[in-house]
Amino acid sequence: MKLLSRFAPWLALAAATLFLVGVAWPPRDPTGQMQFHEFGKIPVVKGGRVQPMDTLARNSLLVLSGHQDVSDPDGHEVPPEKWLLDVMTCDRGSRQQRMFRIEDPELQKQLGLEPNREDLFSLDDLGQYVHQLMEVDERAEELRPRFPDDARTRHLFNLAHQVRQFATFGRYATPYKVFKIDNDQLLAFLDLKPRRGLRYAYTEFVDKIPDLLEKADAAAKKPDRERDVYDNKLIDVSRRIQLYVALARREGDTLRLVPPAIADEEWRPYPEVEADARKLAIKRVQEAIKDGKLDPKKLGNAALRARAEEEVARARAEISPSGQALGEIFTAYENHDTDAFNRAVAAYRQQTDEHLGGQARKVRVETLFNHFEPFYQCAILYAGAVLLICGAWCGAWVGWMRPLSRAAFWLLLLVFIVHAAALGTRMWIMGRPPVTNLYSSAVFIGVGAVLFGLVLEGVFPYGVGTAVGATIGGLSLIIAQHLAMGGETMEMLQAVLDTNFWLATHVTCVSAGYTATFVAGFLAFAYIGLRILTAVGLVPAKLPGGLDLLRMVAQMNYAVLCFATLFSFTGTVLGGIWADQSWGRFWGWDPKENGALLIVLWNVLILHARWGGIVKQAGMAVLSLGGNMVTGWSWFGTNQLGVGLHSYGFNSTLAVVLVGWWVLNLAVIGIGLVPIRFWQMFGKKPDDEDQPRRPPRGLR
Amino acid sequence: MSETAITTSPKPPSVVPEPVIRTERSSRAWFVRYGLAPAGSLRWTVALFALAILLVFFGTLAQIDEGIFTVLKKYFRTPIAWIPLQVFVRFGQVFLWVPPTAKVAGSFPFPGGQLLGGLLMVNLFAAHSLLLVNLSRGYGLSRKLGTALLKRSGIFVLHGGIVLLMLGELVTTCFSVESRMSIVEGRSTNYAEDNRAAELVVIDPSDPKSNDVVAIPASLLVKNRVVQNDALPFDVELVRYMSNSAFPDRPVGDQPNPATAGDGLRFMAIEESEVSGTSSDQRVDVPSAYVTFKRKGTGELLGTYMLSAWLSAEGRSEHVVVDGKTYDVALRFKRAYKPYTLHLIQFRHDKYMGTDVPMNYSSRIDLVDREEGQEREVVISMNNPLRYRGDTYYQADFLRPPGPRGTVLQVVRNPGWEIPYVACAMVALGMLIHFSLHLVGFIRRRIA
Repeated sequence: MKLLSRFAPWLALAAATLFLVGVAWPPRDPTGQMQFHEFGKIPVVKGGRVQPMDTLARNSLLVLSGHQDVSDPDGHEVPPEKWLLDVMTCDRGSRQQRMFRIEDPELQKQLGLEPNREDLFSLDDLGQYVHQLMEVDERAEELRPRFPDDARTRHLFNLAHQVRQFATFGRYATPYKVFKIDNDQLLAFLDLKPRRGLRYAYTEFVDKIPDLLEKADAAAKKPDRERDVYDNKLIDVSRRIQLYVALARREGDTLRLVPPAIADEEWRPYPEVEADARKLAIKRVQEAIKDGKLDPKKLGNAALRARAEEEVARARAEISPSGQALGEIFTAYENHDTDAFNRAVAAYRQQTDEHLGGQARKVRVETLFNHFEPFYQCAILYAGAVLLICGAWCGAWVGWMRPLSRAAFWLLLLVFIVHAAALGTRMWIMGRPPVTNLYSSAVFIGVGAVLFGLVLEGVFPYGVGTAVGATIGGLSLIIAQHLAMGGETMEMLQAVLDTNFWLATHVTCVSAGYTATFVAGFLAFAYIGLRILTAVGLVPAKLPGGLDLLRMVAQMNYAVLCFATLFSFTGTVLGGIWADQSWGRFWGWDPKENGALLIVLWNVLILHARWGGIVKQAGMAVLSLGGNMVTGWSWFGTNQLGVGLHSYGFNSTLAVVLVGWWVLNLAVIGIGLVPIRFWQMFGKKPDDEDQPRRPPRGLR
Repeated sequence: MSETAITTSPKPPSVVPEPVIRTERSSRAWFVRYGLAPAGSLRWTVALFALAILLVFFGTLAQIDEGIFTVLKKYFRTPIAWIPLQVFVRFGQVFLWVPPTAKVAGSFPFPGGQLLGGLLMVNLFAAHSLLLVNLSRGYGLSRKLGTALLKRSGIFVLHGGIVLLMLGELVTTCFSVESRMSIVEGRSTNYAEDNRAAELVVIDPSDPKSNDVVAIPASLLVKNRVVQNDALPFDVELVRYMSNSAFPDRPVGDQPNPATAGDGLRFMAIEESEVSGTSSDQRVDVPSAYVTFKRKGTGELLGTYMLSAWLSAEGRSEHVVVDGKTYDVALRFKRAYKPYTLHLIQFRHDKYMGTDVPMNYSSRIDLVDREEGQEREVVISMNNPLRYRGDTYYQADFLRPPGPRGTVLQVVRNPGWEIPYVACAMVALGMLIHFSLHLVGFIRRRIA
């Protein structure tokens, strides 16, 4: 046992380190195949932030399907980067796909088509007429009466409709099942059958998209409160379709692929560069013809087109070398040319690395960060620490208490370091203080709670601190994981928030106040649980050192409450000062401000009740559970109201979780209010020598 | 944790059954026992905190339906707040699957912010007096008293800060004035407008050097309907007042048009419901009115005009001719003129690359003050206000297209703006002292 006691911490640390190294090892593609992970390190701009393709792919997948993994139609998992490449290059393949049937030879001739046997033509074949056909369809109602109602006209309008449908949406189809659609009404509308996983491919509902977008538009015009679940799902799906189409078109939805040729200039959307190159090339060819250097009649159509393509390539290289290099990557991928792809990626990365300097390093680190998923791994290890503590308590009878709780402590310390380092990395990548949005507040609260737990464990080494720290750490990271479903977690900050000073002071302080209040609340859980267990007699009331167990937990609870008051008050007041600095109102009674004030008031109430002797240990614990509820309200509840400066939109899952959290706390409060004598009835009868039994009531 | 902060859960100062002769002392004891002790009881403190928590919670929920200023007035800046039962329904709708159409009438009274704040103050003063009385009685003027006071110094500083904080809020409530100043790029402005008060102005432009302006507050006009005054060149009668209206538009259908002259013949003002709810979109009520002018004495009609703050914001006014003299008439937001001028050199509005997320707003301004002989260039941006002669200018908004480019500054005149800063520093310091003393004591005991 002594041996175990000495080595248990080392064993736990070694296992955790092995696990971390295993998951953090940088991924590599096998040599001789396309280097998707290298492609993932290419920088792009989305949402105003320079980030690697890898982040773009993962966040997009998260938004579309709810997780970062993606499988090809055969069910094999593929790297997110390959999926992104397939989406970004889906266009060319589908443009060449012969799918429009045009049987009328006259119409074929009008559209400049060379007849083929099946009378099938591709979007590329239609070439310059695509835009005209689309316009025809757009103005169909107005144009139709002007033409004779014969078969050819009908055919033309039909074709125009098909072309427009295909050109706007159909050409971007990929067979990956990445769209999560989990509403029955919506599935019925899209003609889809519910299936396991509820993930659907773009191809499966592409013909319904125009109708869907129209409906979603109507839904979006309704005021927030009048929308029902179906409306919200419609809006949600339409946004995801827009994101997907933006990826496929390599532009739109704040996506910018091409870095500037000169530093400090803006990044540009890829098609814009392409269009500029074409314009320049056409101008040059026309000039050459005018100057007589080029004779179209002598050259013939095919040679002229080749010449034009040459000019385009040259113009592209002149306008934007990066755009050209990027184009080469896509072309190589389209041609399934592994060598060319790898070469193009390596060349492009070298070029951008030199160009972007420090930014490039951040992009590289972010790729590793994405792969490591440190917060996810930490959550797993926190669960491990909780298990160790459970083992320590359950095995206290056989002497596991000390070795296992020590192991848990050291494990928690290691996870804390990883967690804090990961948060630090995020801060470095963003160039921001720790808390900038709800997601990072969850990460921060986790790390803060673990720190509290470690310090408490240092003072009272009986496992309570570790248990509380590890539990809050794990739970907060699970919450963070769910908050990350929105995709980007490092979004840029609105102008009024764009001040590192106030973010670093006010926001951090308020978050620390949340943290401490939650720690106090979880200590209260522990107190109420232990109170019952000691009453029943399952846990000894005295600790080995002669310390009173319940008194110890109550002391921790009190100390943490003091910190909670200090942090939440200071944070709230700093918020007031910020408000005074930015719009001249020290206190605006905004819901989020009020939420912070409620935490302060609640903590102050507990402290005064304790000082006044109105409550004792147990009462303080019960009140601390109220602190849990109030903090839950302030953290997430106020955002749900949809008013005020801090409102970030309604989230139905969050509302349900919050209600669950309140119910749980209320239930434990109820349990905590049950007089201790009730529980003692179930325990061992107190020894007569120890405690004289009370005489029956009637005799008193 | 036997250490208690304010030992008020008092063994009431033991009532010594002393001879009645020493009336002075016993009356003091009586006051302490039946006055200070109950008033300064921590039970009261806790109860008041609990009520304050509920009030803040209700006040938050009420913001789903009501504007921030309404909530301020009805919940926090009042002795008694009437809480509508509907706020609970609202809470249920957001969190508990209550159908969105549910409505419950009725309301109940609840102590408002002013009452709670006042009671907390009384409680605080009583508790501290009681503490001092008890201490001085226990120790006399000895060194021990000094130690005891020192031990509680954190508490004194902290609560002093709280008192100051609440006083600051009181000063703000009573004296703070908020208004807005819009400046078009390349132009100057020397007045701020109060968006929550309108006025009808009659301007005599005949003197080229300075305009003679008579202003009638809209509230007075609404109350009296008819305004007759020697300063006015004609009598004013209100036909219809809209406290919020849409931008005047061409008349639709065959609605009766009350206007008989001016722009009102071509455009009609359309009433809109008052802006309530969120302050996040920064919308304000824009009033319009139909007003009839009559010749003094005879009551001869000069015409019924449509006046709108929308039009006066664009610099347009109506012209009323009486006895061959032309007067400009307009309905506009109440103006407060400043003894200096702000000239907007440039307004910048940067966005993050490829997005509509605003990154920064800033106004480069030339401040010209003839009185003080000052002229300097300043930049006002988010989180960087300009403080000048008691006014503070904040970057609040900007003039939106299609109009000209320009900035909107929030102007706040609050004589008590520094109070919260001092107060907060005091509270933080107090807490630090108090908790540190505790922590040191705790660690000492652990080590011992």
